[in-house]
Amino acid sequence: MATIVFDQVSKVYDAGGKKLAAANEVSFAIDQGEFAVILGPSGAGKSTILNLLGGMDYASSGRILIGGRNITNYDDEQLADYRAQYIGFVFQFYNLVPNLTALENVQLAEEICKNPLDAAEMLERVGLGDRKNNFPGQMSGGEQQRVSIARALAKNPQILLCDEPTGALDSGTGRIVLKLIRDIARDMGKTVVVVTHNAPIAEMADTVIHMRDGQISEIRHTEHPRPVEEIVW
Amino acid sequence: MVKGALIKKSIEDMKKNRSQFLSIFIMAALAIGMSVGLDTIWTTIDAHSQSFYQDTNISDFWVAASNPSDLNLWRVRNLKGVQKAEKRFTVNNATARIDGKPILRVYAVPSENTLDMSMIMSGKKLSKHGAILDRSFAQANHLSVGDPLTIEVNDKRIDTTIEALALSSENIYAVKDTASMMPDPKGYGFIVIDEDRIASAYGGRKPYNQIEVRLAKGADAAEIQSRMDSIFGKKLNFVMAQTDNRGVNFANAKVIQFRSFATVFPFMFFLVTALITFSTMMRLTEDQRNQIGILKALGYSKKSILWHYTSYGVFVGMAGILVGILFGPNVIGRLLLSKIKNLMTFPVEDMVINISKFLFGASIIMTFTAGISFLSCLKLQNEVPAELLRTKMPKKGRHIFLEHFPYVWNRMKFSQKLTARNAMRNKFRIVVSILGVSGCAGLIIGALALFDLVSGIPKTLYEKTYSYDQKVILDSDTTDRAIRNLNLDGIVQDMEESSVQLTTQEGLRKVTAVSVFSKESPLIHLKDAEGNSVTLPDTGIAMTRKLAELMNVEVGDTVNLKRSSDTYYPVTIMKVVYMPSAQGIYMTDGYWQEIGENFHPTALLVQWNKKDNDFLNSGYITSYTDRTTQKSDFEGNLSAIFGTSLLLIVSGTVLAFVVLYNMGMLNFAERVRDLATLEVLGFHQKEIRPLVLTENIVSTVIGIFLGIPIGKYLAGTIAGGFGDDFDLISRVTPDRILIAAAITLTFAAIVNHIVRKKIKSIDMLQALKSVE
Repeated sequence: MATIVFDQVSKVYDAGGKKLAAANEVSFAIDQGEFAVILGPSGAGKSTILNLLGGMDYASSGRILIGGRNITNYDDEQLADYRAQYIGFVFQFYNLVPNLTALENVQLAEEICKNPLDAAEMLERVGLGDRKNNFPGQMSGGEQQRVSIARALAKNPQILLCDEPTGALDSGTGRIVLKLIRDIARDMGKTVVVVTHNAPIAEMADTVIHMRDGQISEIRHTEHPRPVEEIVW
Repeated sequence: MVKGALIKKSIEDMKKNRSQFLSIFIMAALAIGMSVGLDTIWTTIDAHSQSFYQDTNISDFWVAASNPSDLNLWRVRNLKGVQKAEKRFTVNNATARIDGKPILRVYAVPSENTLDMSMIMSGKKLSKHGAILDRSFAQANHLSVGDPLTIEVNDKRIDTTIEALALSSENIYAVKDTASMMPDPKGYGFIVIDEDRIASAYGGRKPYNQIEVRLAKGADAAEIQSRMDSIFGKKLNFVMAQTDNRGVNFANAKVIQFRSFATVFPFMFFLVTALITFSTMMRLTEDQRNQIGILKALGYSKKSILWHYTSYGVFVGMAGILVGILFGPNVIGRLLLSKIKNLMTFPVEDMVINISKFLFGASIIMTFTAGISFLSCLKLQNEVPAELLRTKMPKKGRHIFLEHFPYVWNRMKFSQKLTARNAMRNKFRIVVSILGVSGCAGLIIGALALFDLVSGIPKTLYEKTYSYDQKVILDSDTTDRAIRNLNLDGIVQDMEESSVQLTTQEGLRKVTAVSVFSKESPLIHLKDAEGNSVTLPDTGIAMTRKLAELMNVEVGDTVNLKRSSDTYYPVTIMKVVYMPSAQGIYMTDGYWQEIGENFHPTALLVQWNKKDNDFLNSGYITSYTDRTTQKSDFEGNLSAIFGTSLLLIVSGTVLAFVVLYNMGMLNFAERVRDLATLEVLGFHQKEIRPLVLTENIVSTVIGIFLGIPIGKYLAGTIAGGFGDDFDLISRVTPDRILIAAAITLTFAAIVNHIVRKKIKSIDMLQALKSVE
């Protein structure tokens, strides 16, 4: 069953009287438990899709169905709820709150979720059980990103939405982080959407959505995605 | 080209941070405006009065003596240290025979006199038959040069022609008696005539009753004054120093008061200018470390980069100084001076700006704005461009002290923990907020206290101390018996008011007001500083607290009182009473007679059952004033100080707003990325808000509490800076603190509202971007 459905979704900006379509009638569907990659160069419109899917922006037209519910008509409060309950967000720059320890950053999930998972346990799962009282400033980029993943998953969301999750990491660390996302999501049955311009990452996806100039140029499904360890970039 | 690009960058940066730079500008302008504006008041009065004294050759002291002989005068002239001594005659109770029967002070002057000259504003020099008339009096009564004027002195008519209109340095503050507080140019003025003209009123013999004395530079005034006893003997009434002249005293008091205001109040604005500049420039340069790196990498010299950042402070500081110097004297100065101008008469009206104080203030502002800008940039100058261009690691979080108390810490909400950690990480910002708020609350408390002090004087005097309806000044011929025979319907209290000279054991001498009335005193209720009633002692005197302090005496001490008959009489201070204004001594009519004086009532206090208009219009009296008029006159007299207190309240609230706004915005700006992240994570507005607003509220509350002692300190300093005539007790009452707190909290709420809107407008997508 498709957990994410984009149906003729457009996002049009008004740029000095000229209409600029950042997303033009985009339609796709991602199934429950799938690992999907939205791929495209910068300016292709993938950030727009990310923003819309993440409940951070409003579509100009079309429908976005998440778990069967149309979120396009949500108001600010409803969108905040949607972000809290449905989306686990992993940022390119980790975005940990610098004044909170690793554990406390993960505990943020408990503040807003109905069914959060245990923060300490999530930290154990990303392999940082012994760093839980450290502040972000005391951790490497890879470690920070793992805390960020733990934080996203602690919310027990339907969808894990990752924005260039390896963008600020070296390739070795990036691979570890991607493997972590892939493995945990598979264990927990989460749908993963990774937005990236980094083509090799697409090789590990079940579904790859290629974007160009605000439109989908190709959607490709793979029965046997490559293991992360084999990917090189 | 290179320079042009940097200037463009400056302008863009300032636009981007306009509220911060506007704040620095406002604070700098207020600091300069307040200090120069308040200074203008006293420098103007000081300069005008000093030059007026000099131009009119004012005496250093006056000796009141009955019919001094030429020998007396000769002996005064020959004292070592006396430069000049002249005689004249003066009475304060002549009537002008025009509508309203106004009272004139008459000076009958030998034509060769050079001391205490009037300053002629129009007309010619005084002839044998003419008169020089008070210009304000002439204007109020529509008299001009050439008009005839008849005055009545000692019940005799003297016909004169007005030859000149003039001002007098002895009458800068022209009030006719101790009951009056407001100059009334229509009802009172001065007139100068030749000594020959007065003779007719006194049986053809030229009368004299005053010796004017001018001292040589460096002469010992006290020593010379003490010699008057032996020279004049029985004839001596009293010696009045220049500073005892009501006008001189009044001008001096205003100088002292406004000098004290100008010193105390602007301090906070200078401090806040420094703090705001510091917080703004620290953040600006911190935000721009990348840009500084780029500029360096592009090859800009260290000097030009330093100047670029220093120039922010220079420009803003200069703009503030410029507006301050224009606004201070022209708005604050003019506004307050206009209120004082109604009270004092000077020949010139231009303002005198205290240039040295302005330059001092301006250099402090420039040091703060330019210096702090320079230093904040200098800090980054020592890093290499590559380091500056590298993304800065997020500030390290740190465990805070509170976490050692798990009982407390574990019970705190998440947002509280985060707020506590943020606060500890940004101690400086918190300190600035608290300082700014406490300064504002303190300033408002101080201003309210000043308001209370000033409005409290007439309240204490005319509501608590006096309970008469009218104070009637009796004609000098009216006897005690005549009054008793009138059987006035009401409570009546007679009193004698005059001046006596007191000398302490230490040799300190002072001419002071003496009030003599019955022990029962139904209409004057003396009190001590705590507000307890004080009755006059049967023997000995009661002295006002401030006078006792000035003369360095206390209860039980004996001072020598100069009697009108002959020499001194030792009187013991039995009680100390509290009078907020008008210091002096009190004694019973019985004791007054015991020391050898006649009790001759000069004033009658009346609380009517039925007002007796016949009496009030009778020949028994020369004038009367309602207590309510006295009270409103007193309030009018202090209107410049009321104005100052309002000005301070307004500027205190501006201070509060600017500080809170800046710190609120700074707090917001520093956290915007965290807030955006939390919003992406699904936090609701109401959950995000407290993270920023709590800090503002807490620092506001702490600031208000710290403002209380600041306010009390300000109030105490102000109370002490009113001059010798005033004895003010500063009281900061809880309701004043509440008002100050309410004003401050209102502004905090407005600022929080603005920040709340800002939080609402956070663009979540900012969270996705890289750290700048």
